[in-house]
Amino acid sequence: MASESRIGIAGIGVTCPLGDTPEASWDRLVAGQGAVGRMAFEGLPDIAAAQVTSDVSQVLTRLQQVGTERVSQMALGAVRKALADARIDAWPDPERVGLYLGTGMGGAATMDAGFAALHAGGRIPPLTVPAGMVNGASAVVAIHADIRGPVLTYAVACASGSVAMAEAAHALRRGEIDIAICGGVEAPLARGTVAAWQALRTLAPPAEADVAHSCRPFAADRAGLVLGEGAVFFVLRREADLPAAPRAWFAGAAVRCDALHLTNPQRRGQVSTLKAALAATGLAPSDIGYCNAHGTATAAGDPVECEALREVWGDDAARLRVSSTKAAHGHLLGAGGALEAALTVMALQRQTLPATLGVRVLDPRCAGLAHVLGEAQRAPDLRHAISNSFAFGGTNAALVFSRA
Amino acid sequence: MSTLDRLTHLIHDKFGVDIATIEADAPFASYNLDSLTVAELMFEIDDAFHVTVPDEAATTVTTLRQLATLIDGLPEKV
Repeated sequence: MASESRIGIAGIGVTCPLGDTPEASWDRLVAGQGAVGRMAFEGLPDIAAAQVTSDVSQVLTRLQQVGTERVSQMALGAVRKALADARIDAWPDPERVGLYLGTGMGGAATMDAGFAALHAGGRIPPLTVPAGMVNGASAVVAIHADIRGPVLTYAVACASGSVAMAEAAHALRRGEIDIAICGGVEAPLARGTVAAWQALRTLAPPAEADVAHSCRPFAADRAGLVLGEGAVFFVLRREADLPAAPRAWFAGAAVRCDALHLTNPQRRGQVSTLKAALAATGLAPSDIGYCNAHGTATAAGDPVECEALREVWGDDAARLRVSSTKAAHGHLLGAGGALEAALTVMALQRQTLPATLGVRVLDPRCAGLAHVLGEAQRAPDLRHAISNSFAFGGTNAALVFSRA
Repeated sequence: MSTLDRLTHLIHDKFGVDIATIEADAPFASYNLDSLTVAELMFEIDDAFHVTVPDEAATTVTTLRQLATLIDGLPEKV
């Protein structure tokens, strides 16, 4: 049942620092109201972070919460919202439904708490393994949503969610499944995990005068990334199976690896990824009206990404409108690509481009592109958009979406 | 409060199980405590009762009354 039929985005579920729906998150983003704040951990310098403020545990009863944790609860909540958005409340054949879940660290908070107890001379709780394992969230979603087809977990650092979405679209095109639920989840705001990120010297300190703008992608004074948390899931279906017009089309995607360095992003692999994504969709660079950049606001990452975009877009680079929404919602690591895909779809639906917040002076090494700065821009001509996720480990993913 | 009553309240407080459904001689599964939940319960008991429940209890003990009897026979940790 392989099909060349288009893949539609039937529904999106969002639990993120900006809000609990795609629309609420979008409205806050284009209003310029970022979600980055100050967060304290015992014995560590305060960090800037973007937290989910709703009670995510409510998705399960207390008895059902046994063996789960924040990451699995957020994932299940977002999946349920995505299914409701897609107007799905049951399926005739659960084996024809697949789950493709990206997460960099899985139940990091559970592992963190368990090891902390152990090293302090205490006992490690008995459900540390099932709650902490990287596919724990996938299992919880499968159990409570009755997904009995492929249930797969992709741990590809900051590209996890994007890779999961690319794989889901492939499975639909191959005819392996009829409904794909895909996206990403991350809950990294636990003491040990935060300390490890601090030790890597990649985190921006809280901006003293203006903590909301601690993450400043492409800015000359950018100071590093800001951690965020959340879950974002999509329901993808082949065109023939869509019950209504989709939010947008999943036009295509590509995944390539730098194969050069553990953490330093490299132009070579990013260029390959971007070219392959365009080739997969049959689109020319000039067809792409917006790029939601990976743009983490690290010293090394932003100029390399801009260099790769300039190389692939060539003479059209100066007209490629680019922003990084991480300034507003932080870096959701394994869920980052999924959230940015959701915001890219919203840009297509609303014909509006979100701005990179908090940039006063652009880094000259990031110039040569049509950066959207300051305020959101109307884009009535927007038909196609790309979302980049470039991960530690060198794996890069780019997703292309088209207006429905 | 008897050990059985304390256990009943612990299960209610920890897992939100309705006290009326907890029967002392019924299998744990009859009020929806699966093997993972029982493992979690044993872990909590160690702290709540200042005892060390032996690992094999997670498989040999199947009702709350058996568990209460086991706990009453264990030495209290100082």
